[in-house]
Amino acid sequence: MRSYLAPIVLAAAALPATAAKWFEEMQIGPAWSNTFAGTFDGQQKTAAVKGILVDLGDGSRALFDTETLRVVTVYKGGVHWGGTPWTGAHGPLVRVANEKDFIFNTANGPGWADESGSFDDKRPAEFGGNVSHAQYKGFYRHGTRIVFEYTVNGTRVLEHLQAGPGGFVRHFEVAAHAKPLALVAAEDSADFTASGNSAKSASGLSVATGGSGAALGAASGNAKRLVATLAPSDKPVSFTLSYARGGDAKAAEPFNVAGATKGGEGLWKEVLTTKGELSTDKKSPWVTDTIGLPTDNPWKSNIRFAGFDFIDEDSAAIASWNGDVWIVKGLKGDWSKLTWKRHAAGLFETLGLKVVDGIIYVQGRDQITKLHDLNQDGEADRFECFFNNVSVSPNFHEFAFDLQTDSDGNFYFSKGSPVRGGGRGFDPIYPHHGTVIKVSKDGSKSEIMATGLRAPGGLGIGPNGEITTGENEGTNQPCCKINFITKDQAPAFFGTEAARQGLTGAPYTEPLCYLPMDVDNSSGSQAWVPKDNTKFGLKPGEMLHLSYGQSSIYRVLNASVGDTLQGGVVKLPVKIGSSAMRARFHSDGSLYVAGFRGWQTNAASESAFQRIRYTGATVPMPDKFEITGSGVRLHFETELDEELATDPESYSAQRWDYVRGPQYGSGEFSVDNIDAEARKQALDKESQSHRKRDNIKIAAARLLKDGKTVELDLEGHKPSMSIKVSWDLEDTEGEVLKGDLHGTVRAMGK
Amino acid sequence: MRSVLSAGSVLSALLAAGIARAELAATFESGGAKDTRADRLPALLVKAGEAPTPFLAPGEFGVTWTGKLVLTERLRLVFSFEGEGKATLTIGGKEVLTEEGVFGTAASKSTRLNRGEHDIAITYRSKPDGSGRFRLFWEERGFPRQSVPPTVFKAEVPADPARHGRLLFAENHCSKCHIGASGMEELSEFGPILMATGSRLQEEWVAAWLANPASFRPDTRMPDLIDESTPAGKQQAADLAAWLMTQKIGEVPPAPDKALAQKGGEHFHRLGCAACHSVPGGPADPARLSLSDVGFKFQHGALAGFLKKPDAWYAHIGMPDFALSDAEANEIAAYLLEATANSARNPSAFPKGDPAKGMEIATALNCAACHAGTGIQNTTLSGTDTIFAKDWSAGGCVSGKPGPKVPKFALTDAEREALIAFSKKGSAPLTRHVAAESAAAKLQSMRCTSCHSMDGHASLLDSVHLETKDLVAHVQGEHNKVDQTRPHLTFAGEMLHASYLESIINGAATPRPRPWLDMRMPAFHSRAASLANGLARLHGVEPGKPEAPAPDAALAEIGKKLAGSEGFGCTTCHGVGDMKATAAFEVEGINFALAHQRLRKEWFIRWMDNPASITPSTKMPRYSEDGQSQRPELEGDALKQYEAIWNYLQKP
Repeated sequence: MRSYLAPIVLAAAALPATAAKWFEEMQIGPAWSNTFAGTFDGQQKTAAVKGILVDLGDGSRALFDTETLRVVTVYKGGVHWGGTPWTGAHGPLVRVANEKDFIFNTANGPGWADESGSFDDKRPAEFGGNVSHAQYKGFYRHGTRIVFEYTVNGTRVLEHLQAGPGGFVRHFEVAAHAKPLALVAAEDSADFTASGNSAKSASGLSVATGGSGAALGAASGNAKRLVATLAPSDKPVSFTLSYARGGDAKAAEPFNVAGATKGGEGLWKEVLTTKGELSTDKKSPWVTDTIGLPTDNPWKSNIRFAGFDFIDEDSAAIASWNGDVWIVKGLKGDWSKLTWKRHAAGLFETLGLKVVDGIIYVQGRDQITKLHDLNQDGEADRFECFFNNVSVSPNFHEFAFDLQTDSDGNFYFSKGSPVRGGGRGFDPIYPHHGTVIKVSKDGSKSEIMATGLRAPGGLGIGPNGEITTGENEGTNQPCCKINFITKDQAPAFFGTEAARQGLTGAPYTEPLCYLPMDVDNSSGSQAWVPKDNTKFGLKPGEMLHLSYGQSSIYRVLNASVGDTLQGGVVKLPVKIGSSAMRARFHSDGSLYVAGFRGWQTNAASESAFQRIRYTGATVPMPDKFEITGSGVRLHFETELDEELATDPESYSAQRWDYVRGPQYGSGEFSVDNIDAEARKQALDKESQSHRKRDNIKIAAARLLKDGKTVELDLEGHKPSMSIKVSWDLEDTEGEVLKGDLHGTVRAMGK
Repeated sequence: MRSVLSAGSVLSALLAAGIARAELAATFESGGAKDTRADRLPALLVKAGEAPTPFLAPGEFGVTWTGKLVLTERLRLVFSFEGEGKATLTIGGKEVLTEEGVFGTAASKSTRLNRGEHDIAITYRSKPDGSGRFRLFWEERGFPRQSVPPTVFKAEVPADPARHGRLLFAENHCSKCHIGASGMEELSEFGPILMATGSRLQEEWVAAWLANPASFRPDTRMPDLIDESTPAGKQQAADLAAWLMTQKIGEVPPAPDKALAQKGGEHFHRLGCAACHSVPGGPADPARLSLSDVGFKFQHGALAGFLKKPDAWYAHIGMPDFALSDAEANEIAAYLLEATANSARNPSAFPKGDPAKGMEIATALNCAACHAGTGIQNTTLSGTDTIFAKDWSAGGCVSGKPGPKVPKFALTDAEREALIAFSKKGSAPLTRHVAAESAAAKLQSMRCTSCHSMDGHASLLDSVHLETKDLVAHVQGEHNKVDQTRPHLTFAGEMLHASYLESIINGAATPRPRPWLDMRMPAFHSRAASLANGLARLHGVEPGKPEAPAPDAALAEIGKKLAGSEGFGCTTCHGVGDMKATAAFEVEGINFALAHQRLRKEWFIRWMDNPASITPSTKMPRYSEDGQSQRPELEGDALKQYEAIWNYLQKP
């Protein structure tokens, strides 16, 4: 078995003569899903937004486009690095190094003809997307061989790409088909002349077909394109296309393609072992245990974990930003031995993962992939395309965040908007930018549940189908916030005008609350305490919000009055090892959290996967927040010292507004003394330096009969986009309770 | 301490009579005399032999700062001092800390202060030789020891108009005719040198300007010396202009190509020219200088040269040096000429001038007192001491009822009152340069706060920059840049080494610390050294420069790890020398290679501990809470980790 070296760059020589960059050394495997640029007729352009770069093993590579089901380019060489998860650059794509030594390239458009025999590209010119008459179904991995599976006009096709001593060969197995089929065999810069089994272009590309069923011929009206035509057949047909540039292609015998769809030899055989580190803290209400990560692995894979789910109580699957899925086992035990298996690699910026009935679904930018381990060797060997009906643009920022399910088994994920490298404004908006997408349990249907998102970071699905997302400061987004809708409020518009996606005229859906930068400057997922979980110290059915940027976890206190959504957050007193991107509750009642560092965050390390356990100690923060006619009411979980609780000096409060408009972010604007001119200016110009919070006088503080509830009268109590209430109290045992709540006030209750 | 509570600034006190809202009232006392001024913060640095304020003689002195300490939440504070002398801090009438000698060995007990306003008083006594240094510090569970920031103080200070009057005396160049005073630094500032007038300005404009300067610029310090209502006056103006036009140096280049105007407009917007100038061709604004006469004043080919080097003939000009390239200067000149083409005034007819007569008139009018090289200076006018013996309200330049031989100054009533109040203090304040106070005044007079916010107050440009947005409306992607926020000045003197402050004010800081900004810090060459020195002293900091890097190798190694991708990942946003930031997005950080020459350690620690407490809108994350880091190195002690990073930054 040959090992898979990372596609070392041709341009590497241009880099300073220092040690190789990590991404040059990481072994990705034989198939790498990504958006690739390339060089065509001397021009650099996007080659495939949903591409799979197949490493053919002899230094040559073929780029397969899963939207059009065609070979985009076959060439000798590696890639020019780009892409945010690789080089960190916010703009340039990974570019295939096909500028010189290529066998052939094909122009963007369907790789197979439709039922009418037409290769016409009927997709919207500006967005591309999947062609309608052919569907990508995924690929099988057999050792290092990759076999693509797709349907064309309803007929199943298996295609395997191979490099051999004689040149590049495509092996096909096509199911029985009642009508003829045709595919683009090649394109070149000069006309082809064909004679059934072979063809040659005037510019030196030679093509031959082997096996049976395919006939080569120049496309009608375009002799620079070579088409292979398949006559109707009531049996499966197997044929090959062989290619050589500068010589004569030799027809190759078909390889047993179907035989390679049963699983094969593994690629990442070594199982790594790490240890967990258990907290010895007995005092804090929550403590954090840390799982040792397989950072030091033979394949130099960059371990930046986020999306994960439990396979069973002892094991979890977790995806890295650079496209790995690993399985960790030993969670149930004492963590003295945790085993790690690299289960899959080469996926596309995977930021969400969900296990359903023991099967791993992993969310990349191109698709939700269902991973199957056909031969039970611990490695995925079928990468089934579960859902790929999203359009993908070349913009670096259109991240696909998270993967969650509702109680009916539907899947949900969110997509960012294509923010430009400076953070201001957007590249052209594609149809699914800035949305929450719901995908049916079987992957066959999808629905847009929300639009107008910019950088949601993650999402959450509540017990009753509530849909929540985070959001970041940016154009039309004054600051981070927690979007929250019930399922019957979908589709909702969350504010980013450029990404309205057809919800013309839909009102802006106000969030549950806005969060200032020091609370959240970049959001992660939301997680809900399961209804049978009484062991975590929070109440079943409560919601948590994760801040990626502040590496913090917040308890979300809903303070809605009637139909008016409002609420606030209080911080859980836990420290975590990296950012807080994804979290799930384990069946033992603990909360697992994973995150990495990919953009601004105060995360203390590149990545961490940790368990947060409740120790049983007093929970030192409120569990209830209400907005009353005269102020706020906070219920604590412990009895409070009366003297401090009734002293208005023990509290402080501020209120302020933001200006939501076309500018990046917002300053903080007085609510008590409205500065209309400043607010107007903030629509035309960035206003972050405007900081005018109102300090609210605490007119009265009362401790209610239960000894745990304080009621504060706030002078000038009124709606505001933000309110901060701080307390400095003690419980009856003398333990200090100090903290603050950040929320939004819209409607006054009782 | 995030706070936007401070009200007003000391600067307004310097310019307006009456009650000024400021941070603290500082009452100085020396040799039985008293002087009260508004201070932004309780800090000072006075060397032996220096006056503590311009109105007090050098020698042993005391000062009491009083005002309110405004807290937005309850804090348990430990106070301490830095400096030397004797100091007492009193809060809410209770003595919190007294220390004598070299400060810093004692600290107050933890003092719980509730949210709201607290009376605060700090009394300080200098050493017997009149030297002294004082700074006030605090610390809390939530933050390490750091200077108490100006934003938490509030006071109403009755401003003594004499203080403003003293500055006006210098600004109006009174001592150029009434010679004898020296010592106050501003007295050494001069008006423009006129030797190149003939190759820079238009004769018609020169005549019209001389005839009535205030009609062009209401706040001009150029006195009106000619009565243009008479034919003789008109002739005088024409003669002077004709003579000045004979003063030529070099050839005038051709006027800029009109096609460059659009590009020039883009620069005008991006450089933030609107901070000091009303929009060319737009409505006037008394707070900003109009450019409507620029095409009338300058020979069109000479404007670019002026823009490139505004202080070439006028070292103390307000217009700073933007280090414009030839192309930029030409483009801006083209824009200004085009944008103001329709705002030319009706030319007032002047007779043909006689250069020879003009030269005689210049001597007669004593032009040479302010403008070197314009005739022979008249030294027979009353000297400084003589004029201070007179009543300025009764007659003379300030009175507003000048006689035929007295120049007319464009002074407001408040300015006349300030000058008169000053005259009653005697001329001694003109012999004293107080660096910190001078710097505080320059922050206003040089319009620093037109571009930079300070003490939580937005800059003028923040509110007026939109006026020029149409100039870039045609540019694709203009608004897709990383954050363009300019640094604020709240901590300037304690943040940066005075040596670096000087180089940046002098336009000599290369590379630029914030190369991503469209704007650029322009140079105020003639004021750089003095301002840098004064800003440090304003914070009670000894003006200095970084010591030679001497990092502790072991700590630096830990610091490097903490700053790198294994640690906090600082290098995501901050470049290190030639190595670019790995993934800067939306904002960029300043290159670490500049840290050692720029930053004072004390401020670095404050910044690392809580960046948003310094700049609320910063994207710089906070890496610790209550002194605890999320990383395990050095026992997880955040301060120790920052110390390690500091060591690394000495030689990154």
